[in-house]
Amino acid sequence: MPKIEANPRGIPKAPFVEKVEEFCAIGEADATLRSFQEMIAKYKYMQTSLEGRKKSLESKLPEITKTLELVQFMNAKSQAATDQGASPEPLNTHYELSDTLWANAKVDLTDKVNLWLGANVMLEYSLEEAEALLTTKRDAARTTLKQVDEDLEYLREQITTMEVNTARVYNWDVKNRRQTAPTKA
Amino acid sequence: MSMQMEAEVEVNREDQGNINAFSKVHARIDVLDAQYEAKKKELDYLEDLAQEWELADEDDGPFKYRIGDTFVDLTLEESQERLAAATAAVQKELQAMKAQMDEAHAEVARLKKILYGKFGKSINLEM
Repeated sequence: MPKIEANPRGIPKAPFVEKVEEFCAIGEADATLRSFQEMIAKYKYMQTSLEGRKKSLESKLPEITKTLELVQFMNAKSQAATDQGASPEPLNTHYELSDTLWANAKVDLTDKVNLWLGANVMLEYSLEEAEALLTTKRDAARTTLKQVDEDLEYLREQITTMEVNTARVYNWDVKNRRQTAPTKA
Repeated sequence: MSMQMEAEVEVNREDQGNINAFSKVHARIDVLDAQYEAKKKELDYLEDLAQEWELADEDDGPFKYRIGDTFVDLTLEESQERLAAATAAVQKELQAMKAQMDEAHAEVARLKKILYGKFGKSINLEM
């Protein structure tokens, strides 16, 4: 048995069959093929779960980015006003009240915002803190997404290896049967 | 995947690596293509908007510019600045994607040459 290698997230590497005749005894091809099938199924299962994770990250990322954009905008506005020694003008906004209803709101630019953290918790941050936090969150989500993409590519490679292994064992088995068949008959 | 192998030529570890790389990069191209198209559309919208904007007048304002999920009243100058910044950012992303795509296409061509060279008709890399 070759030593089990894995990628940084611990997904095991598919074994490469060096020489089919050494890997698999004559007549044992069926059992080998079945075990290959099992491994492919395991890889595919991981693939499906990672694809789900990728989808959820891909929907989370724009949400963070949107919030960050607005916080950056508010921060820039209030900074600009402070630099001029004035208090910032209130923002005139239209916000979504429900799916088809937009309402007007005058938002005083304070130096505090509340971020919804999930799990029914909302926390107050200064604009700078909020910007820093959201930037960190965004970067973390991007990094995770990149890792998930890497894992998906890695999984694809392992599945390909197993598919090629399957084809080779299968072909080898067919060849063997052809050779042994006439002597049996 | 229509990767068919016949047992005429032995597959060694290096070949397996090349086959894996091929299938990986090939799939990457599909993902990049889709992302590129989506971004390109975004750029088209922004460019259309910039064109409309040339006709805009300060008196038409304030302009309701979407930031995050909210529309904020901006002056003509502010909104144009934001639009220009957004356009530049999208263009930069498109450029980066284009470079990745070119690289992937070159890699696929390189691997095809190697794999067809070794396996000839017993491998099918057209999908």
